[in-house]
Amino acid sequence: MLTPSVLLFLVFFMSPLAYLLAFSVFRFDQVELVRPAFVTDNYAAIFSDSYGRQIVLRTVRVGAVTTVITLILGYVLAHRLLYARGLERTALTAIVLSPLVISEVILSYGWFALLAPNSGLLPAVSQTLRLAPIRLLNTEAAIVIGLTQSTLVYMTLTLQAALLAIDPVHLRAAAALGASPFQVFRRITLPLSLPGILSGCLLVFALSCSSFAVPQFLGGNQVPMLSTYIYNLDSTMVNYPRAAAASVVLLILVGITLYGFASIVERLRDRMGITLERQA
Amino acid sequence: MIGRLASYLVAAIIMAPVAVTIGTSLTRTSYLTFPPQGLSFGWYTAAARDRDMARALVVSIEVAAVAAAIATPMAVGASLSLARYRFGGKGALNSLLLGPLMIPAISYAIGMLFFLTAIHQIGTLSGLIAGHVIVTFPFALRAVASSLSAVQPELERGAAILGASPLVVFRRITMPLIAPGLMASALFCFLVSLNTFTVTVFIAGPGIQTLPLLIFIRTQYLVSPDLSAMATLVLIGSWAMIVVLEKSFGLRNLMRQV
Repeated sequence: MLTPSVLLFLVFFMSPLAYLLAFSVFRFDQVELVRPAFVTDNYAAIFSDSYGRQIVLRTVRVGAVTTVITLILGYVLAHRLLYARGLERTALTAIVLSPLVISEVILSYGWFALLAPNSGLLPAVSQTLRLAPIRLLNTEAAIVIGLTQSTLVYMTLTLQAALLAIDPVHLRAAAALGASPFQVFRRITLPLSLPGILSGCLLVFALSCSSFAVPQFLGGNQVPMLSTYIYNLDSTMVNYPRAAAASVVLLILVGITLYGFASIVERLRDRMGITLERQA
Repeated sequence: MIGRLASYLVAAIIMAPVAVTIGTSLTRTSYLTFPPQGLSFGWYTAAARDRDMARALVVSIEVAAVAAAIATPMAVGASLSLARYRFGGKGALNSLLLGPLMIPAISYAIGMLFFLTAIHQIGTLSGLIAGHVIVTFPFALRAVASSLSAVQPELERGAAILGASPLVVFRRITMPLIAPGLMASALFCFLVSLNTFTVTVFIAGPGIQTLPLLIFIRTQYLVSPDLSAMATLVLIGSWAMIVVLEKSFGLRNLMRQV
């Protein structure tokens, strides 16, 4: 009963990945496009010139900035969700979950329409504040905004689960022993939710680095990340070997993140002896 | 108090692109503007009259329906084996089948582009469907597995002891018990496929256009409020499906990442 799905995955999942690895060491040829070979030029091209390095750096930077902002906003939401009741809780939960079920294309399109120079809102804001016209579309900031909004749900859900797993007895005990609310947060809540924070960060960083729709709609070719660079290599430059190499670099970046953070989280869990139930 | 206000502000940010999409679709102007100037459904009739949009919608639905119809039964077979039998390499197989969630969609998409080109299936509907089956499969597996985990194996064993063949056990015991899970799996696969963008961009080829692809291509050339109208219709359609899913199954079971 397992055979059909395993066969399906061998053919349509593993083979494409094998092709990806193979193409990444093939040679780019002006005429034939791709020539079988075993060269490391495609990887070297990404890391040797400053343009390629800039793209890798931007990918990591956008991922990191998005992760930090998401962590702060996610904590605000998760904390509020702990205390919200009734209608407030239902509405807040629905809003937090909504990006999960809306197509990334539609979310990106919405931000695109919001940030587009002629769409009313931004010019109106800059006029009221008497600022110079704000240009956000095709900037890194636009990508970070879009990614923050679409990945916030993962951070919030993870943090919420972590906060729920903390026994309120500890908080009350600390308060009874004279700790201020800030001390309770810093000495009890924060350390106990650390595994949740880390696993939320891992997820958001991996998702942000590998997102394609958001950077394509909001950054375009002017501020390429690895994913949009790959698209450009494929669609306009038809340099398949280098597109393959860039995809492998992205794959490794995301893989290392997921593996590294997962083991940190595992170790923290062991040390603290708490199990995080991922359900709210 | 500050925490409450801050959380509402963040909630407003989350809703911003949705509000803008809906808002810009209602404008009377011929360009995108928010808040909308005037109020009209004119752009919806314009979208409805657009032949390309109608065709893209049909292609999207076709691909999503076929992908869901393939992924769900396969997920039943896989999760039954994974849940009911003991064998070596189970963990590895499980991570293989959840693999599409773990790697960047764009890396898979590029590999699939090379692979489909090699087997002369690039730009075909069947190639596109194959890609969508892989992308939706982990969600199907999770939905089916989680409803299967609620079925007590004793019921199946009891039926087997009373002389039911494995097929009869499945048809009379397991299948009716996991029916809501199958429903959720199919609907969810449909939704995921409908929204799949990255894989489609790379393997659909010039002849096939799904709705997300059409929205993407149009934003590069001509942006007009009828695009917002189309996007709003997709939003409403997705929400309707989500409500059904949430009522029948609970979304969190389906959405858990990693």
